[in-house]
Amino acid sequence: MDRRDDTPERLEELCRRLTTSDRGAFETVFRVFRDDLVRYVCSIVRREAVAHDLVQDVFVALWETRRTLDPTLSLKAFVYRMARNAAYRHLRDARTHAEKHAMLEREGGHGEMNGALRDGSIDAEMLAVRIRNWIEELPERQREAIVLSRYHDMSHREIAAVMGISARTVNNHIVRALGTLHDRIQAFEPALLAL
Amino acid sequence: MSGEHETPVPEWIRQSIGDEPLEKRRQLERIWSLLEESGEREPHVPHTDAAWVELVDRMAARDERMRRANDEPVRSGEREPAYRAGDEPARRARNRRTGRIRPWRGVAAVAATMAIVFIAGTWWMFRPVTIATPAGAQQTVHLPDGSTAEMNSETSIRFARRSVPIPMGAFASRRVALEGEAYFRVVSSSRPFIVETADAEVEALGTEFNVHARRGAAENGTIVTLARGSVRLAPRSGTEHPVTLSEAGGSARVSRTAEIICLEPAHAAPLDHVLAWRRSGFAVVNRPLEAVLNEVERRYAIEITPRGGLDLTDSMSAFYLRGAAPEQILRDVCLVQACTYRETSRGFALAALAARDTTNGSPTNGSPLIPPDRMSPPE
Repeated sequence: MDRRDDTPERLEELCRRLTTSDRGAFETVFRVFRDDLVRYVCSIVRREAVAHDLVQDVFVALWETRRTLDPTLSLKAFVYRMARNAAYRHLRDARTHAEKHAMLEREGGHGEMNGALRDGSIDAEMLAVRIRNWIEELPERQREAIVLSRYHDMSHREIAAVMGISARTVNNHIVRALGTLHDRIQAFEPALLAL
Repeated sequence: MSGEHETPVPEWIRQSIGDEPLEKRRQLERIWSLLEESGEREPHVPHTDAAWVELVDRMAARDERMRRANDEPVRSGEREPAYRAGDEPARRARNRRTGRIRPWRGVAAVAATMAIVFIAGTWWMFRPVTIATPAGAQQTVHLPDGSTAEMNSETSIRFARRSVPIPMGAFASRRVALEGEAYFRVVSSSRPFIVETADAEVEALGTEFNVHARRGAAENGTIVTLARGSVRLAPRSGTEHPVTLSEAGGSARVSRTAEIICLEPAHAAPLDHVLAWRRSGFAVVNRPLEAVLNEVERRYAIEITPRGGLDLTDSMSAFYLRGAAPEQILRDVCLVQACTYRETSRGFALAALAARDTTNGSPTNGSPLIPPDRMSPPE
């Protein structure tokens, strides 16, 4: 979709059109957010098929609540919040914690490959996998705050609205997450920090 | 791994880590850009397009279910009270008691239903049907007698779903009321085919013709252009005699004041211009700017806002055989009218070029116009 569609002004207009049951606006909103939402939900539920289904649910729900949307509030924060609620509800309802841990372990095993890294020649893809693993090991809230700020281009206010916490807490989470990542990198790949 | 494409840390995060020592702060900012390089894991899920199709299907199925659910309570309401095994004998006795009067009720119900169906059917069959094409769309309508009407954007036609099959004066004719623009392909029949517009009545017997009958300040009546066969035109009021067109390409206009102006093929707008809209083309022949802009608005469902300095009564012509795009049309309009356009949220805004400084060199100068994309928005 057009890059211009995700500017705040454009989203506000789309939101306004959505409240009048405009299907075209709905499709545009879908195309703007869907892929990012799947990635975000996937980072919480850790199962791709589930993430896809949950995001579809979110859009059905968005269509049903379209009349009550407030265009002056951030539509982005609103859909992310819906997606987040759906993801956590899924985790809670399905009691998939055991499954989640099994997944984590499997991914952890995957991560062992990183031991093959030789200092000096750091393969970019390997590094990416490694950093992703470190992000996944962060405490849940910290991880979420940093993922939303870094990969979903959100301001602390929007993240606060999505996570239902104060903007100050968002800042704290992010600072702590960066600190933890800093410690990890310093311990395992100090060369990366040398400027 | 160079720091060249390092993305700046958002200001609010920079502030949050402001208390750290400089060295640590640099390192944290470095981590910020490292995160970008690693990116998020790309999940293997259906593509966006496939997901959209899936969602649309699902929502349609849901609407269907909801619709059915709304019908449901009526039927389940009849089945009340709930059936319980213990009630069996009492229930049967009740059925036997009511059984006696049931035949009468049945006959009455059937008769009433048939009467309602008959009345509704009759009304439905002879009720006029109105079909309207919205701005930005075109469609072809099949009329009950087998004729077709290709409708341009923002056009509506009204006709009887079924005309009386026995010859009965005015009822015998096939009548269509038109507002807008349509191309009629009429199958021949002993019953005259008549198109009514605000100004004129056009009568045809096995022929193809275009009728342009837009309403609006910049429009001037009904224009009929013949493609094949012959048609007869008469004003709906006044005393002028009907005029018959029998040469392909011939055109006639019935003005607002009930005058008929006839144009031989040599003087009329060329037929392929008049019919360009049917092939996704666009043509205007010697029309005031206002009418041209209205035509573009209708065809592409956009809004065009003329700003100051434009002469809306200035006549112009433009012709695109097929595949015309609104922006292209406006670019050319601007070229002849010495104006510029820019995109707005719903369409375009047109403004005359400031101070007319193009007049001194416009025909010779290769680029007399400020390119529209260089124009800055008014805010």
